[in-house]
Amino acid sequence: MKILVVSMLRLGDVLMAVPTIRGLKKKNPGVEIHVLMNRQFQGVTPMIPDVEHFWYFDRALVQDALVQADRSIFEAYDRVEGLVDRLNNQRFDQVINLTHNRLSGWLCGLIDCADKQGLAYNLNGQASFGSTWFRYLNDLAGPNSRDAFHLSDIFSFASGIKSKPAQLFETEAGQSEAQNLLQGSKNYILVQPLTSEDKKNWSFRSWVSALNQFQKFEPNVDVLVLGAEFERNPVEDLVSQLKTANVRARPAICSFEGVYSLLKNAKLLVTGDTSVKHLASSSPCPVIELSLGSSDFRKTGVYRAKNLILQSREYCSPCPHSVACTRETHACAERLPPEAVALSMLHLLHKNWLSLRQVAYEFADDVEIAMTHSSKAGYWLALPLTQKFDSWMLDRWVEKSAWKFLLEKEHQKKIGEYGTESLYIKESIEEAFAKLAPREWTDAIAATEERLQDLQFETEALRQLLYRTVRGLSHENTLETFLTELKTFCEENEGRLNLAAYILQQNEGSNRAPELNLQNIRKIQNFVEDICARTDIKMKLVRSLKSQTMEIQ
Amino acid sequence: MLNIELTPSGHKVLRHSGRLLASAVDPIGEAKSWVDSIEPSIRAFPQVVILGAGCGYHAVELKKRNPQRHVYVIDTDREILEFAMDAQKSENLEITWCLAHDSQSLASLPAVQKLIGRVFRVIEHKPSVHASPAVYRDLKDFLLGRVLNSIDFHLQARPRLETSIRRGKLFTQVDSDQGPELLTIKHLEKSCDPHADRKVLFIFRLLRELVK
Repeated sequence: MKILVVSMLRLGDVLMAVPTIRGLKKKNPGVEIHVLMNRQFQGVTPMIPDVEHFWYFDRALVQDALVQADRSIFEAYDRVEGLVDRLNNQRFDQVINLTHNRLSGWLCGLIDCADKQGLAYNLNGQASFGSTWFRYLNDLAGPNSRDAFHLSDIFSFASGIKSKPAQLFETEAGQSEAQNLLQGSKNYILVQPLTSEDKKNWSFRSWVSALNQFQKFEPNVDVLVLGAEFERNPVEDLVSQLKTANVRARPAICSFEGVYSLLKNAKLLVTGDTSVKHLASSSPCPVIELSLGSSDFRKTGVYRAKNLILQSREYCSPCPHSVACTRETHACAERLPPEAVALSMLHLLHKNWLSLRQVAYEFADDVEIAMTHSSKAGYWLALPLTQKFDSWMLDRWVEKSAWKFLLEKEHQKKIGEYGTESLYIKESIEEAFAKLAPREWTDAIAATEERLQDLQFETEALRQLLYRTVRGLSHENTLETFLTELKTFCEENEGRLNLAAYILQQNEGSNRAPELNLQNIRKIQNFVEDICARTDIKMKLVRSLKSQTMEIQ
Repeated sequence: MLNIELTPSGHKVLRHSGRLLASAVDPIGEAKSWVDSIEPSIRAFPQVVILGAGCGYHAVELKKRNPQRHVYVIDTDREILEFAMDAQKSENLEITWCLAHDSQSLASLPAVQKLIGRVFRVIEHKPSVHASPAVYRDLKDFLLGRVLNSIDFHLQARPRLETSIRRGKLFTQVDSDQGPELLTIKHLEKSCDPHADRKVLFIFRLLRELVK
């Protein structure tokens, strides 16, 4: 069997695909996996295991050929056609597109294969997803979606495998590069200050302040400032500022292979939203991620348990991708206190979880400090350290499992595995919140169950209302009344944000009702059906959890 | 009017209508510098076409740097071409030398017919091109498929595209009031038959994503 995995965004996205590749190989050891990625990231391929062949899309070359008059008019066409022909000669049994953009959608549309997972277009420009998980990624996992699944989870669930943090190969070249940079140092931390976008960067002033404070607690630790060759000047500039502030800093300009070898023995990595963060997910190095600008850690956070993510509480955070910051100042970065970062570094370094929680409370007004968890139910999530276990917290776990059941169509099976899933939820919560008293469990379950009962009642009423609306579609007022009630429902019920977002998007900022067409009605109908189904799933999970807690007592 | 001169290192160089086609001091060093300067722009191209044979040293140096790369040299002057070919004889390198006075003679060359369906890069050898810039510009535009009279020649090498592009539509687009303009990929896309081969349509849609 031959599978083509398509990952045509940035390096971080390629690295987020590695757990899926690994899972596919583990599920079926005889499978031949090919990966299609941008040529630009070719340098990382010696580190990626389980891949028989890498194919490259020469994006920069094709783009240049399209706009430069001294290139053949057919060059861009020929390059794409040549690649497609070579791919089609492979006769893949399955294509999994882990890139969620139009370019990859057209490319996957060009590949002759009956089994396509992920976005692929047909001639009419209609998208197919091949999996409910990829449809979820398209329709529902928008920005600010609080309970969105991590991309690595979506990729793995969609591919029918259980995801685990990736393992990468350490290369000899990387080892030798790291040895040269370390100069014998064994007690060192890594800092990756620069990201691909200005708005994701923390100011050098803040870095200097944070590292200076950290160094006062840990005077013997060396600080290696990471950067690629093209970042040499700013990295050296930061190092010089750090040295002036008495930080034992030095630049570490190296390749990805070198970074990975450095990570193997580093005591800590502090980074923005970068591919280095994803490399670290495959190493034992503890990570602190500074989630600034458009960085949406819920979908792309460091994919390993017991790491920290710091996000400022600025209202606009995270902002949309590829749009410049609209604020007068870089508010989200400025609101992230260097002291909070320094103390988080110190306590994560010593695995002092209690002190970390105290830091989270102390700086709670300005920054959310979240810890990453790997649930036994197979998904990743990051929970704020300040959040105690209560019915709302329980709801977040149950909500995720409910989504999983809905997308896996587990609820349609004759005997759904509610018992196993609720046991996973229970074990995961107990791991995240040590020493929970039985009373805390019963209180949280009772409150969640009560809320769900109300929700079941409301969702059923909504379903009936929709049914009546569809029957009376000829009267525009009927639809408007329905939409008003739907909006109220969304506003009053947390977790219905996706539906609310869809309705707002349809209204385009005006108070007009969505266009009265079958497609819109159908989409709203699907949303409502999903909410109803999810509420029922959640109720079953909570009741199963209830019986398990009672059994233990 | 061609004259042959000898450099201090014993290399022969040509003087054409009073202008030297290579350095009279160090033609080999000059050829090496020339290859250094163009190398980044041709790295991803298995075929390179040099417009202008000069004294041949630059083509030889290019071929030596990467023997796998196919090097084509096109010149409009038989004497210059023969001189350049002679200069590289002892090197025994596989370089394709082509004589073409205009686009018609260029299109008739079997080597060019073979080349045209592949991915290639055209590089100008400035001292040679300087002698007759208009002719070389026409040859270049023809090779790059940027002029209408080259389209059929290029499409012959791409059967799938050949049946998909409506020539009439292409001609009306390019023939503006200001006279014919150079062709772009957008002209090709707009001239594509909406019922054309699925693959052709998909590739154009994919390319559209890259020019946004």
